[in-house]
Amino acid sequence: MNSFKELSMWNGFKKMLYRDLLHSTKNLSQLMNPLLLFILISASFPFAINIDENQLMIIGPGVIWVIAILSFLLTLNNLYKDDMEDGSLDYMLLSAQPLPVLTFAKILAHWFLSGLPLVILCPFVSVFYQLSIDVSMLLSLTLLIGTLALSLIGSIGASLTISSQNNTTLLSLLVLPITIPILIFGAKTVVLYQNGHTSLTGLYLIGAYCMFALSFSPFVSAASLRIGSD
Amino acid sequence: MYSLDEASIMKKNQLEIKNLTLFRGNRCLFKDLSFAINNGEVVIVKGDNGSGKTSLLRAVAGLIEPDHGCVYWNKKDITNIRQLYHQNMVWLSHKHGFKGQLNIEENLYYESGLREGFSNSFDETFEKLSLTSIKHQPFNTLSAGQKMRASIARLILSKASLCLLDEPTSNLDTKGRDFVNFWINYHINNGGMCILATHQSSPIKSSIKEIVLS
Repeated sequence: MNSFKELSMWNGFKKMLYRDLLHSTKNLSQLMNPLLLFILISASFPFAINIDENQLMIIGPGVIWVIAILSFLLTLNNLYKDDMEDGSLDYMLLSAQPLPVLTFAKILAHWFLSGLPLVILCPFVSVFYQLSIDVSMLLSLTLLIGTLALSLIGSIGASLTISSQNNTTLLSLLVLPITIPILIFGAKTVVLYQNGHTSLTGLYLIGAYCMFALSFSPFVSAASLRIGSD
Repeated sequence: MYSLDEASIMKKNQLEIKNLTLFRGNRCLFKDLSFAINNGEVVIVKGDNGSGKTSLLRAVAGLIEPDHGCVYWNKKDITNIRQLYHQNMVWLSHKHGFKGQLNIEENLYYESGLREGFSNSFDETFEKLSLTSIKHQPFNTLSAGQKMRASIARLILSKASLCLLDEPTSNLDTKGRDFVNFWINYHINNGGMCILATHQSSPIKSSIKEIVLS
């Protein structure tokens, strides 16, 4: 019974998740930089453009989504790069666990510490754009699903670019086009809701996109990590 | 002394390398390299800096796809049985693969999720490697020798039968070096296998095959 417990993929998944969360919480500046960027840009935007309350409410969701995606892209670079540099990627590749299980744990840890904080900050940032509570809650919900999809898609980009030296720009170029659908549906859902339409269609679409990414992202990331470590 | 109560070490295993060829850029590191290693044997890979010792070990570990040739574990191509092979293999290199902000204990706790049968006797091993006093210190605050000791702790705790060691005694003091040599001898006498890349002449007493890369 004991040996079965040790064998389990859950054990590997759990410990990978725990290590990445622990590692990130000890690396606070790396964690805080994108979040601060998100807050600062979102907060300064309404001051820079001189428009009235109604117009601010209309552009608000779109602007918050764009800033969220851009600050999120900054965090993707660290997903596998650190592991590559200190050699723990080699040990990950040489583990007896299936690699997709470990990459999925890494993706989830990344989302917990990069996506989830954005979602939590969103209602506070919405205040600058005069968004009502229900609108800002819906915005947070779209961000919740959207950032998870971004983590999954971004993991593929990050794993494909680990072997290149200066990969931040390349990674953004690679990932940004694939994230455009999430941006369109995410922002549009909130705008439609503001205009009195249903928000369900948009939520279903981002949800479907997220599930689609979930179905292949860990496997593709694992495969490209193997190739990239060469 | 030790109690290596691991059945997998006692089990008969064989690693066979057939016609391995590896290019790095345009340079051929080695060509048609073949050798086999059985329980209780050591292969020492020698060569100057940049002669391809680490690349050979990486290819044997399955981290690099060789340009030609295959590595077989118990007659099976390792690319088809990766998990089984990696369960029986442990790798030690100059990149330690530990997270700098975490301490040795946290790092090894994570490692224990990567393979089955990872030993729980952390304290006992720390004691042997004189790591007890620094086990709660972040890894990147340790000295080069202490880092190597931590890597060796993983090697011992993983209880794998095949050890791929890339310069295991670099940065170690005399006491540490003696311990590593003692441990390799012990491991071999208990039916383990080792592939060792090194500059130094190694006082391994067991049956040795030597490969010199030029």
